[in-house]
Amino acid sequence: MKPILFICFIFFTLSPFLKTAAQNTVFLSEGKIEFEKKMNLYSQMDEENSWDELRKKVQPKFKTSYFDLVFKNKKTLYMPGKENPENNKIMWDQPIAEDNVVYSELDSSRSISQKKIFEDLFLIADSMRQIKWKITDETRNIVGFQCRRANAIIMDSVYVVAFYTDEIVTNGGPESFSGLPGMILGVSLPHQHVTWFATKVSAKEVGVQELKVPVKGKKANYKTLMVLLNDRMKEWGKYKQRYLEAVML
Amino acid sequence: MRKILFSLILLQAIASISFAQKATVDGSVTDTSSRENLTNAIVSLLRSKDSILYKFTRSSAQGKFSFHGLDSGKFILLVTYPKYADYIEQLNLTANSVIDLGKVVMTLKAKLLQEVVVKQKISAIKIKGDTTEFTADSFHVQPNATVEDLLKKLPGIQVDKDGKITAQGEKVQKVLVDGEEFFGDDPTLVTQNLRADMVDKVQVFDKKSDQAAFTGIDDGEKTKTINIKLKDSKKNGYFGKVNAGGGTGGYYENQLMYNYFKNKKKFSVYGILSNTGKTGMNWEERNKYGESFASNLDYDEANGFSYSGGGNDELEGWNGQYNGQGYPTVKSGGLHYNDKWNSDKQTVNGNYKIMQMNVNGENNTNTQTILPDTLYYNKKRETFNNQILRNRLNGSYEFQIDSTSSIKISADGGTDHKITDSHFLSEALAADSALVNSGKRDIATTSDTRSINSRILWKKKLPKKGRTVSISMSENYQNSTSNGFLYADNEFYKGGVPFQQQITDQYKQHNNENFAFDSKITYSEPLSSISSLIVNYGVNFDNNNSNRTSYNKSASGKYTDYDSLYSNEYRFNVFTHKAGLAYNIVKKKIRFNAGSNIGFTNFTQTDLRVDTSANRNFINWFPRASLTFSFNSMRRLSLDYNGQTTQPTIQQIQPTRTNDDPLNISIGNPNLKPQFSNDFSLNFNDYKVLSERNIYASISYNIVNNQISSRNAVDSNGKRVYQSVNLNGNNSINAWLYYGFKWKKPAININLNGSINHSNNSSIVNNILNKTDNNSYTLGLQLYKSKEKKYEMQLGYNATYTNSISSVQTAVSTHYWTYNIQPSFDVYLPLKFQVHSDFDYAFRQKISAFDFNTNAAIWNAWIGKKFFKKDDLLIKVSGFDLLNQNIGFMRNVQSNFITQNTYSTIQRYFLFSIVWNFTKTGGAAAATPIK
Repeated sequence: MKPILFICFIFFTLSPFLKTAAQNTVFLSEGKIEFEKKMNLYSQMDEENSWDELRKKVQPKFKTSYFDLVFKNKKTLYMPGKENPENNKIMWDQPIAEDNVVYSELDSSRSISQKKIFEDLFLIADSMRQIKWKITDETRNIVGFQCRRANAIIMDSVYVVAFYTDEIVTNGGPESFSGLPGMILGVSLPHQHVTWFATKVSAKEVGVQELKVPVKGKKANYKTLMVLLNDRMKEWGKYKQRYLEAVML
Repeated sequence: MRKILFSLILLQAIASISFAQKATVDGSVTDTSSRENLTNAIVSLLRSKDSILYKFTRSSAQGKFSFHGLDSGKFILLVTYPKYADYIEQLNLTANSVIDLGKVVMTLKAKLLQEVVVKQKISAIKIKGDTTEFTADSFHVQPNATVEDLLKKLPGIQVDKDGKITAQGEKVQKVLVDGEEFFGDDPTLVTQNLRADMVDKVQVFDKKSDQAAFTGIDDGEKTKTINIKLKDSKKNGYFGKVNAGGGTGGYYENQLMYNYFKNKKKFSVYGILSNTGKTGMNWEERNKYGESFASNLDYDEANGFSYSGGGNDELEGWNGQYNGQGYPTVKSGGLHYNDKWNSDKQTVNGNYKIMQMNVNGENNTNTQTILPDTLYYNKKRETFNNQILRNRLNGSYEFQIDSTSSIKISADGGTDHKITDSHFLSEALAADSALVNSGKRDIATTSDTRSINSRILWKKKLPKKGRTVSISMSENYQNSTSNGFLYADNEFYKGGVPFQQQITDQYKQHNNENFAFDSKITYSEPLSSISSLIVNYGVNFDNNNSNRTSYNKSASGKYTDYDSLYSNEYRFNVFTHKAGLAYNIVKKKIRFNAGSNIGFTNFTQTDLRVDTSANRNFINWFPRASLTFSFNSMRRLSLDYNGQTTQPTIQQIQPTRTNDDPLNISIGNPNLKPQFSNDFSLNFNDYKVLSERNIYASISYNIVNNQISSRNAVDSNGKRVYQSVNLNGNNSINAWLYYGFKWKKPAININLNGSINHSNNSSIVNNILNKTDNNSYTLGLQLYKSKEKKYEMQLGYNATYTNSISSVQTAVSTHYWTYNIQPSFDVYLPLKFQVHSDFDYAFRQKISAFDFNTNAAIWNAWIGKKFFKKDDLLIKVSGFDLLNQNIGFMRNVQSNFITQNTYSTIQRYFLFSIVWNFTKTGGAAAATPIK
């Protein structure tokens, strides 16, 4: 009984405040978002290949991993979040973009991302990707935030569906997705079979030390990295395109 | 020129910035009822023609917003604020328009709802079970209709103009396509749309919350969900290959392969006629036209990988079964069928293969026998003519019963009919080259082997995550009978003078029967999300019966004289029940598992001729442990230990003499104990993809208790009697290192490898314990360079040094070098010509025991031209062993018997062949509109 009484008490004493809060919505400009990244592992497998058929028996269909996005005003930092122990059991898994750290400065439109590409750690300093977003009137609720859908094409051919919310002023997103008027809480690449959706938004104060700029890695920009990877993977056939799409996001 | 152009562009850019007129838009955002200013409202400008976001801003603390420097054109002003209805206004901006929108008034959605009463009619529909399912083809839609169009047609489902879907009166929260969320493609951005005619079924159900699915506790939270199941990509057609080749010296190689497929059904057939050594399909061909290796692998967390293929199918090894000895003539063929249905939940697979092979040739064996007091040199020449007819049939059926359980049943059977005809001439010389014995021997045997094996595996996942149970049972039955004649005439010499002749003239029968049954139940219990405990229990038995009978030729000339010395009937039954426990933990960087089975084994050995029986009991351990440390996904270190028990075979244990070669008589040992071997290995690999640098290193150590080794007794006539005995102290160490990198400038891949092998083999020689100490060291180098569609070049070199010393006579040591040099290249010439050449020069240093040359330089080459658009036709002229030096060669120095084997093998010939690849695919039937 006691906790219920307590909650009732809190509710009644706070209710005048809640009312005003409902009209003057609280806008977040700092906090932490946890993203769940889901990849369809089967989508990369061939039906004719018997080894892929075996992989389907051995591997789960989806691989789930978590990332945190810390944001404060015009700065965001995307980095690996909590570990999913299930991923360690995936046989023959070749993790791609699982250790990415992306630091973005939204006002100057610059980003510094740290990416592990096979054995090499790269530090890519470049201007942020300019995405031509197409705004729609479709909305959905993601972890309590009303979000609006926008579509775009990036890297010439990758179709992106993103959901952004008005209620977070910082207009960033996971990985390098940004450029919408609010925070992106959901991204899907339907033809690459990858999604990022927020699973938790914590409104908390963010200290400067939490927005650490990555410093380690071989210095590069997107252009030099693309040239390098194109050279190293020239005999990879169809795997090259898949890999580049995953790495260059 | 470029510079001027650049400056011009720059000038123009500056000009346009300074002179272009830009538009401005201002305004402020307020609430309708309270007239309060709204802060942080998003004000966006979208391009009118395609809704692309042009600019956006947020309203200030006073609710104000403004845009400057806007291009002219048609725009949509979109103002949004949480819980308020969107405000939309069309703006037409000209070059220097200054628009003040004044107050943009926003309305709370809650207010709107009070004013507009939304009423919906709900279609009455009965739901069976949890899911309502519609079959897409039973509803009419227009060609190229979208999925939304299809959904509109389904009873109980409404799609509004915004694409929002209502099913059974509730708003559909999620649309899934084959279990993955479907967002709907924007036709202005993506051309690849999901069409209605690609849909097989539409299922409507209430999805439990992820939490409920994870914990198994229903929290009552459900969301209306539509799952769209797509049709399997429809395709049918065939592909195949014909290879016809004829050449000099009567050589030919003809092959036909054909595969027909219709949706998931696959049927293939192949046939081979050849005398060039090709007996079956190679690895790649098998994947396309037969049952692949991977399709026979099974995996579960508790048991790891298991192979359930049709037994050891000698009909097709990796490249067919002919081992290079002699001249083969082969006729072989096979059928393969497999099908999947019920959303791939049920799979059936069947194969039949037949092969007839004749092999004839000559085989020369030289043996040096090292004894405590002396040496013998044996020379043996065999001419053989063997025939075999093999049949194999196998099939399997797999059924995924539901999401938690599956069953797999597989069976195979086969027959072998083998005719062996061999003639031997042999000679043994003493250390001083004096003749000790000489002989000739003929063997003619006909044997038949029949086998039937079957296996069943049932797996079930229990409700708690990670808790599983599986039951497997298998049976193996083999029966073989052989009948044959042995005629041996051996003469023994003393001081170069014959003093004794021994003639063996016998008719032999050997019947062997083996029946084995194995069962195992495995249960795994999760201890945490990363660790589990695995318990198993199993019963197995292995029953063997061997009946050997020998008849001497009687005075009447018939083989009626029963020879009790070389006859025996014996039963050897092994019964084991085994139980075990293992612990398993998987973390990001560390994988560890350890455990052991304990087996209680009972041997029942019955001599059926003399009616005696013995019973022995053993406790066998099967310990294993493995630790893998992953520095990252490219670099790994692992340490493994495996303890293995090997039971003796009935051939080793049956207490009878076998005189197939009267100069080498084997005696079974009924007192043999199981052998227990400890294997330790340490492996390291480091793989760098981008810089193409790879390191693999491994070191392994093996020590065996009660190794089933041999006891040899060689008498002064050069006759040897041997028996299997248990000996301790055998061990071996192998170390291996591979280092590969790319030499960047000339783009050459360089691999270096080295290995060290050391082993100690114990045996008993004339009642003295002999330890043979073997060492071999190898160094290798490979260079590789290629240019896509231009050329490939490779150069390989390796050198091995081997030495061997037996403790019975340390003065006699065997040591030698062998080298191989292997250059090869492929060049792609214009007009679709291709030239290939590979060369292998083998240098084998003579060993003192056998003083003749065995070096060989083997050169193969071919030139071919491809024809037609898809390179369907290849015409090729090949030359094998152009220098005519190929010889079969084997050397073995592992014990006090040093042997060297040379045998006849295929030598120089030329082949003219035509290879035709054909294919026809009637693809994408899904594209035809539904009528």
